[in-house]
Amino acid sequence: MKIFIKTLVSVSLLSLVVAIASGANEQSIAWDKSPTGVLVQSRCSICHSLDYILMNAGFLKPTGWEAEVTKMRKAYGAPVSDEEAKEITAYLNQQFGAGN
Amino acid sequence: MDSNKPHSKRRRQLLSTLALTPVAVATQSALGGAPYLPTGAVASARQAALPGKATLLKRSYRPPNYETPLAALNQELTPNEQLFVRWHMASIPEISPQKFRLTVGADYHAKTLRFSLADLKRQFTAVDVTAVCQCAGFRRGYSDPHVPGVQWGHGAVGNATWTGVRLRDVLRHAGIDAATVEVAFRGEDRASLDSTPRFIKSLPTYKTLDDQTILAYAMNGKPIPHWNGAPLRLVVPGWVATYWMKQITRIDCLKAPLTNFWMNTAYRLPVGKFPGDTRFGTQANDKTVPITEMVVNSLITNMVDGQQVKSNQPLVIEGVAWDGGSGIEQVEVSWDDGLSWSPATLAKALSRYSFQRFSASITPTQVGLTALRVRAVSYSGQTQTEQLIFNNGGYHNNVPHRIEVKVV
Repeated sequence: MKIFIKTLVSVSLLSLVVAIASGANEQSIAWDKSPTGVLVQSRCSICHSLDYILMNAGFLKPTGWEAEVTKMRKAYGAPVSDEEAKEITAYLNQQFGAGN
Repeated sequence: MDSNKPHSKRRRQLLSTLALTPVAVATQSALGGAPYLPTGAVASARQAALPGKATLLKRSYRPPNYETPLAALNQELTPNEQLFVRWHMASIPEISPQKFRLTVGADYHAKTLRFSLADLKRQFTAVDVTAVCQCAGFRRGYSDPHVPGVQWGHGAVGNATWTGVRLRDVLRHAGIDAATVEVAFRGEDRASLDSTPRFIKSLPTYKTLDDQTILAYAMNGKPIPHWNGAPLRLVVPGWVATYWMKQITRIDCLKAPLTNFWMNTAYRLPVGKFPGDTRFGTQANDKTVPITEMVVNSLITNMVDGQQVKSNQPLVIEGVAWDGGSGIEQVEVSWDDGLSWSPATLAKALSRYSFQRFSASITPTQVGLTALRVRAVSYSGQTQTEQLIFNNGGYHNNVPHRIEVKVV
């Protein structure tokens, strides 16, 4: 949570205003309130609405979701620790992986 | 196929609680032939409108990724409010045309110029270019097997007459010289985090000096919509839209190839699978090359999946075809899923980079489920591939567009 707050503070006021304007409808996306669901929401939604995950549901194998989480951390600089990455990857596989 | 497997109970619960009306799209081919969008992409799509834009098909709210309905492509020029919207970054500032400044420089000499929009219009000749703007990920959602990314259907494409100034005029004014191997462009869009690399892309020098490559401030005679890159965006006719940088505020002549995630990792194709491996030599390596020119493609735009059509009566098929700029030589349509083909009539296109409108009258003779198909041939001799040439980015899908209909 500390990282999340720090991140929000670093967002400029202008970009926050514009992001909210363009993302108003994302509030309509229902999301799981379990502890891991909340973790996924808090980390992933810093940069994108959660429909980015929903849109890719149903076909990725475990290595596919792992690669996505790695890409978000390494290429896009998502503030996700190693432990959180494992938890988030397992959750994405369980909820949105191939066959689910 | 994985995407056809049923959801888990948990997943069904998540989906069933989603608000708004889901878009009615078939998730499976009735004939079992064509790959369809991922189940999650179908379930999460919405009819939605961004401020100043028409209702489009929402793929993601933030960053905003919205595609054009197929019916809106049933005309040569795509209306401004209906052009698809695609951004990598969530923060897209409103830039006042009065306050906008473009900085043009070179990393090998000190000369740096700044232009207002009025400066550009006053100092350089205005030109019109009619050109198709097609997302590199166009039709990614139909990749088989599916690949991650924005699950675009058929609507990440549009065509417009763009007005602006020639990039080469601006670069020459700024003193571009033979040391330039690439020219880099920076957009003003930003991610929520400073740790995310800014969206900066480059073009090979020869493409920046092409007289059709322009810095555009108008689309179809009106200002470019905010969501499509106002006040100034790059128009690179024939090349996929990842190079059509939006909200450009900085241009740099480089004496060494640009190295960043967007060039070295994203938007790349395996070597040897598609034409044009040598088009961007400074960014090529042994295994991959940047995606560059669009492949020949076509869409049926006046019919919808599941439509009923009458047997033994002429059926008019309309649509658009385009390629990387050689122009469209021939279009054929089929009413029997590719067994027989009939030539279409081509309208006069506004330019060789424009949508090529076509129409054909065909007469289905057999009742039952079937599929309409379309395929185009370009003047460069390119044809559409019957089988998908799979690649990890889901790029260059030009398998003939197929619409399932019921002949009654």
